[in-house]
Amino acid sequence: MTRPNHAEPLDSSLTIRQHTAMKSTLEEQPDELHFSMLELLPPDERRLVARYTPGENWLQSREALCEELGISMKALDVRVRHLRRIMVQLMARRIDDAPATPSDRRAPPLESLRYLLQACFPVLYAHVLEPTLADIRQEHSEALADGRLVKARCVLLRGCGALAAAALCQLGLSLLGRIAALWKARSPK
Amino acid sequence: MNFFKKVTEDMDIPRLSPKEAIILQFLIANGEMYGLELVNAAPDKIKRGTVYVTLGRMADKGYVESRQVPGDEGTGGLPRRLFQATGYGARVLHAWELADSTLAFGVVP
Repeated sequence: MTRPNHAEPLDSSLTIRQHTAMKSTLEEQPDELHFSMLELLPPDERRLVARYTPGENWLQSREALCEELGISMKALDVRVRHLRRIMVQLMARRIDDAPATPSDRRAPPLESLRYLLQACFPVLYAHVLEPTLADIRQEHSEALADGRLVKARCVLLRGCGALAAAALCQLGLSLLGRIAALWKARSPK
Repeated sequence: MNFFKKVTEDMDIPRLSPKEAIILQFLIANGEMYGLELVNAAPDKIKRGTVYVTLGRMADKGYVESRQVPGDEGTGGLPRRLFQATGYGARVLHAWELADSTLAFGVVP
């Protein structure tokens, strides 16, 4: 069974994600990637690649293959290289369709706002803003899972309003509480 | 006026706003609930912006208690808070409902 030439770049048309995914698979499980690529080809092409082996009698094997197909050695070489490019492209498409890995995952929504609120209002954040934010994210992820992008955006917008309302409400209440405590302390018994 | 003020101060009557009463009713009926579930249960009465402020005030009064649940992928790792009514909260709600019905239908025979 032939192996892809690992020293060569896979393909210049691949995206960074595709390159990274393939490179890491090549480093960790080179055979697995190769077999996965072969699986993507039609049976005839798969047999051709399999017989294009660099084994002991590789020259005889390739000459026999050329005679069978009625093509020259150079033409066979071109054909196998073309198949290799197709394999890489098919593999890249499969990587794109695969679910995102933890390193690919985007930051959860309103993350920078969360850091800001946590730094500015630590007590308010712990009691009111954090559970509100967790609810917003939960609703947002549920909307995304249902494929409702507009609803997901609405949830984020409404969530920002809810955070502002929660902060104002809590701050207003604590201010009133302090005024009441001061009033009580000053009033004659 | 002074008499009523003195009586209420001496008795330390627990206060319960209509919104707090609704929340307590839901919590007693359903057991543990998230703030978002309360909002979804009564969207016209409980707002997502103020639900945790109200729940925090109720926890200060001893009507509800909460526990933190570790966050998952949906919440981006943020922990969520589950609320449930305390026995004291249930008794306060019951007392207020009784008082309401008494005032609405006259003196209990």
